[in-house]
Amino acid sequence: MNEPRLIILQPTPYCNIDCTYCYLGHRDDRRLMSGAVVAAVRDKLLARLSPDAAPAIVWHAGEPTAAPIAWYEHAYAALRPAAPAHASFAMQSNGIAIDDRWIDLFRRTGTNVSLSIDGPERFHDARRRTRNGKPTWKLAMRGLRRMQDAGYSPRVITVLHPDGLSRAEEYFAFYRDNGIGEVSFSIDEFEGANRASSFAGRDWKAEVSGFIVSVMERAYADGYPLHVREVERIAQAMAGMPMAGNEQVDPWAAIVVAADGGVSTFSPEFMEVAAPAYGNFVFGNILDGGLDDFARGEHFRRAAREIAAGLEACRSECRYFQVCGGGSPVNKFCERGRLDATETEFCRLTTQTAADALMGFLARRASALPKNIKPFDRSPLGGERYVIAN
Amino acid sequence: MRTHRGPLPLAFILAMAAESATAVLPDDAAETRRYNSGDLRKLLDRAADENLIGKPADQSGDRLLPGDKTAQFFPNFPNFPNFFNCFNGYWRNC
Repeated sequence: MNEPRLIILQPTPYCNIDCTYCYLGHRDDRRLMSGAVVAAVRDKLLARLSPDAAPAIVWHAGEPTAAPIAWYEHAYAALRPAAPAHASFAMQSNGIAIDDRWIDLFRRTGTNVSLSIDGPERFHDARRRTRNGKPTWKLAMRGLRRMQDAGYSPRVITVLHPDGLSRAEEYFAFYRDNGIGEVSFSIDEFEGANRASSFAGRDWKAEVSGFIVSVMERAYADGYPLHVREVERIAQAMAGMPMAGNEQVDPWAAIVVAADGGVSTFSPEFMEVAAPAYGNFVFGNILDGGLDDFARGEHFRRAAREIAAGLEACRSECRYFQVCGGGSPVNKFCERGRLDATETEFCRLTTQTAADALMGFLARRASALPKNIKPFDRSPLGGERYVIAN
Repeated sequence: MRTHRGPLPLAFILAMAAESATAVLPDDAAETRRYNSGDLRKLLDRAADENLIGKPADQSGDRLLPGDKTAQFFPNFPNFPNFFNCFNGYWRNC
């Protein structure tokens, strides 16, 4: 059994807003994870990890701040003592409800928070709306400000859409002007409850890659240390630095425990996918058994076998394999109907565009120097001390 | 406007390395390039001494001037004697 590197816990499936591209099919469900499920996570999962394990334990899959702070007080009191010393706690939030009480909880519990903000106001508000159809950007930015004022620098996840790809300068100015130092770009995926991606119908790969290059070029020229998470991960791989593998193809490396105790693995979004042949990718309930029990189930073994076949197919066919690690099984299944498939649109528009953007960015820097300028006399940051060679 | 100062992105360090005269990038066309882990290692090795990566930044300019010991760690970056400051976010003091 692999040691999990990512454990996603769903305090509630409920979300307080209603984004047009949301993949969560149960976002109206107000159930809270029960104390019995929390105790089972503690006893059957965390307490059985090796002392050296360092999993990221993330509250996610619904809006975590829809659960009461008091619920987290109990949950942390139960989970923290059983978690390995190097475990970290994190939360993925839309930021809308974050106030001083939440920030106090984050501080006391050492919780890292990432915020979902889709860039500048007009792009964010086009799709991230309240349940009454009202815009949410100002509310999310209020949460960001509060966290920054308290000394936090939350990472921001931005879901891109085709209408923003020609506006890289607006996106960069947004990150810079709001003190955002780390951004993760994604796309609206065809999976779960989201039955259509805005990128369907034509090939957007060059535009997405060009957008990322353009954001990086602006940040570099401006001296603003903006980390694009996907690019940084690939830069680490290509620079030969140690990096974590693709937990989505590694059984139990990523684990989701839903509010009702349902357990899934591989891609976290599997929890939202209807697939009777795989038991809807819910391989057991933590109230009824442990990971060893679930690993013996036919649905798990079938999924594991087919995902492994897909991994090998990626390894042999895909020129991005070494910086990707085998893709995302949930996207293979949702886009192509098979777990042993290889390339997906999600691959093309996330991992592949990040890799292409890195190399495009570097190639443009490498060719930036006219031949008659001595390169050692030019600072890419200051950019003013040129010496012309005769 | 809010300010942000943090560690330099690895992509930017690679970009500075790419701007050096000795930089060698894989020159395959984007459509056919095969991405291999470690392909850019040489680029980075020329930029920074591995023993320094990950250590706290030394903010003392006096000890990081050209010709000083630290500068010798980055022979391909004579314009960046304080290269390690770049790596750790002291952007304007590179």
